[in-house]
Formats: sequence, structure tokens, C-alpha cells
Amino acid sequence: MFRKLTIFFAALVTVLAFAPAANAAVGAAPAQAGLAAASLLAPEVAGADGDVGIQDTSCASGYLCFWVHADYRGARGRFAGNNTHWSSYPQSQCQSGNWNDCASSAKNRGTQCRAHLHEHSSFGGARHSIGRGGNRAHLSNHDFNDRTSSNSWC
Amino acid sequence: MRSITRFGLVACAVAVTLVLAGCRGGDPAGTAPGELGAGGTAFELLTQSGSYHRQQHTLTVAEERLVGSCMAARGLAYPAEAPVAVVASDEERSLRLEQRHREGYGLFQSFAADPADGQRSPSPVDRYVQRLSSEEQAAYMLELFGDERRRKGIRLARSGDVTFPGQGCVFESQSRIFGDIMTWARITYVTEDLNNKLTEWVVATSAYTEAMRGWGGCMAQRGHPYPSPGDAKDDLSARYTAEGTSDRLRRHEIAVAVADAECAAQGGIPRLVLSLKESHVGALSAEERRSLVELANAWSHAVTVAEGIAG
Repeated sequence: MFRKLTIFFAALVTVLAFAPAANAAVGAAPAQAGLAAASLLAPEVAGADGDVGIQDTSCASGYLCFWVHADYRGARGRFAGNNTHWSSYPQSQCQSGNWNDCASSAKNRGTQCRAHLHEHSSFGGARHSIGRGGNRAHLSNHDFNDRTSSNSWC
Repeated sequence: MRSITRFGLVACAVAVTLVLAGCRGGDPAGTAPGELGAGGTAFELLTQSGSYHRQQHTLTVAEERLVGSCMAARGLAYPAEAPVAVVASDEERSLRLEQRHREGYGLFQSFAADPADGQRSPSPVDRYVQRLSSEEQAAYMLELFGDERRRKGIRLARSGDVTFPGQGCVFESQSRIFGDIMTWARITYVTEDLNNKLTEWVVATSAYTEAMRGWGGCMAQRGHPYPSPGDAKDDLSARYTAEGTSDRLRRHEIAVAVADAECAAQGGIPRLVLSLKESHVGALSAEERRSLVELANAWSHAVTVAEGIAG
């Protein structure tokens, strides 16, 4: 019984401290002040099919960043404000040609607010939050892969 | 997968500790019925209803005050504005009728926006940091969030792994209010995970389906024959994509969004959803219910600590 309980509880929620090396890939300096005025959501990682050799896993301060693939791979998009429908933002690496239902990993580098990923447009449906400074590397391993349609803050 | 392997190894040890702590009560359910019913702290935390937003405001004020002090002690500005408490009922929060009268579902704004608008943060701290040089931004983020290699994490049953700062002013502030950072993380993410699960159950009930049928009838009577709010938004989005933005389409969006909220209010849908969540919360596993009650107790304690800080 005790063994069953242990296994069950581990599946429910497991809290841990990561080994320092586990997230070394996110150690890149986030500062990219010059990008603030650059075009929004243009693919910031080169490659026609999203399987690229050069990865940019960084996320500049103040932004919610999201990637086409898990582990911050593929094209990267980013928002600083609320957005009610990601379909209005094109992205050629997404099946639909836009960011709607396309994000597979995300980071929040907003300095003040929690970022919320919403399943439906206009902040509807299930909500998955990312606290400030937080990362979600594997939306794809669970039930929220390619299901984000809008985002909000705080 | 390397990190997940490390995850698993540490996870087992911590899980055992948590199970041992959770088993002390003996009763597998281990929860007072009132806690998980409407008006109980655990239910309000789970569904973000009732007094949740008032309590959360207190926590936010305290956290912002601590982060500001911490950054100041490191010689850095943190120009945050005082968080504003929004007083509204659960129904008002759910329907956002006033906002819908102003901007509908907000779709026009998205489709008409200059792409650069998406880069403008409403946060004064974000705007301040983005004006710093690259080197200054990196130094600022290091003090706020700590070293990226010293992160902590939590694994959720439904929505995967989330990592968060294990050093820095945000970590220190949350740790002080919640006692330790893992308590903050569990309150933040586990409750959301369980609420999403509960919502899935609720929308599959015949009572909800019937209520939405009534909503559809109400909408049709108002000239907006959509089977669901999602269909209404998808249709409007498709029209913005095909036709481009216009005042006519914007007015139509507002009319649909207002009718949506009024029909939902007429059918009592926000109240029904909460009521269905209350009736389904007992279907969560005993461990999930026990976790919820533990987290609610920890949350209440954190609010007490926050009240002392926020003044």
C-alpha cells in the first residue's frame, strides 16, 4: 500500500531541486536591448524546417518567449503585452502559418508579472501559468502542446 | 531527456518524504468537507473564487515590497507601481461585461495592432529594464532571478515541468512569504493543474451542456447563432483575417461579445460552473484533496505573513 501511495504521489506532484547542470542551456545572457524595436515574431532562429543547428534559447528581459518546439528549439516568438489571438501573428514554421496552437516551450522573463498561456483566444479555456523568471521546456510532453491561442500577464 | 533523468532520481526521494508527511492523518481522504466546499479556503484557492483575489492582492503587495527592498539593497531601482486591487464578484470577473462593452473580445485590437505593440509591456519595471544597456540588463536580471544554473523545479502530473529562480530577489521574497520556495511553487502550479482538470470534467457534464444549449438559443435570438463562445471568436477571427479590420466588424465583435456575456449571465453559467466544480471536487483523488487542503493552509499562513509585510 505504501509503495502504491509513493508511486501515485510521485505522479501527482514531485518537487525537487534541479542539479545545476540540468538547465545550463538557459544560461545565455538574456540582454538583447536592440531587439525591442525589431520586427515582431520574425523567426529568430534560421532554418526552413525548424530543425536548426544554431539555437537561441535566450529570452530578453520583459518578454514572454515561446518556441515552435520543446526545449526552446525552432523559431522563437515573444510578447511583452497581452494578446487575444495568436493567429494574427505569422510564423512559417507553424503548420497553420501562424502562432495559434503552435508553441511547445516557453519562458517568462517579465520582471513583474506572471505570464498566462490560454488554450483559447481572448484568454479562454485552460490556463497554464509561468511565474516570473520561470520556464516550461516541455509543453509537448503533456496536454498543452500546440494549444496556446492567447496570452495575458499578472 | 537528461534533465528528466536527474529529475526522476531526486523526485523519488522527495515524493517519499511528501507521502510520509501526508499519511500522518491516517484517513485516506484526510480532508474536512467544509474546506473543499464553496466558501472553504481550499475551494477558493483551487477555483480562484470568493476571497481569493483579495488575498492574492495582499500577497502581491508584500512580494513587490520585498523585491523592491531587495533590489534597493543591491543598489538597483525597482520602479513598480503599487498593485491595484480590483473589487469584483466572481461573475463580474468571469464575464468582464464592462470590458466587453469597450473592446468586445479584444480581437480587433490584436488584428489592428502594429506588431510593435506586442513588444510594449504594461509593466513599468519591464520598461525601465529595457532602457538599460545589454550589460546592465544582464546584471539586473541576475540580481532579480539569480544564476540560471541554480534553478529549482516542480513536476506536475498534467502539465509537465516548470522551473523557476532558485536565487535572487524574487526567490528570496517568495521564500520569506511562503516559508520556502517549493511551497510557493506548489500553491502556484498544483492548484492550477487541478483546476484545469476540474474544468475539463465540468464542461463534459450534461448540466453544462444543457446550459450552453440555452446560451446558444439566447445568442440566436439576438442574431448571433453560434454554438459556443469559442465558435464566435473563431468566426470573428476568420473574418478579421479574410476582410481585414474595420469599424463595422469591430462594432459587430462588441455586439457578439456583449451578447455572449449577457446570455451567460441570464443562464447563470458562471454560478453553474462553480457549483459543478464544487460537486466534482470530491472526485479528485484522496491525495489530491489532501494536497489541496495542505496548500490552502500554507496559503492562509502566507497571507498572514504578507499582511505583516504589506501593513
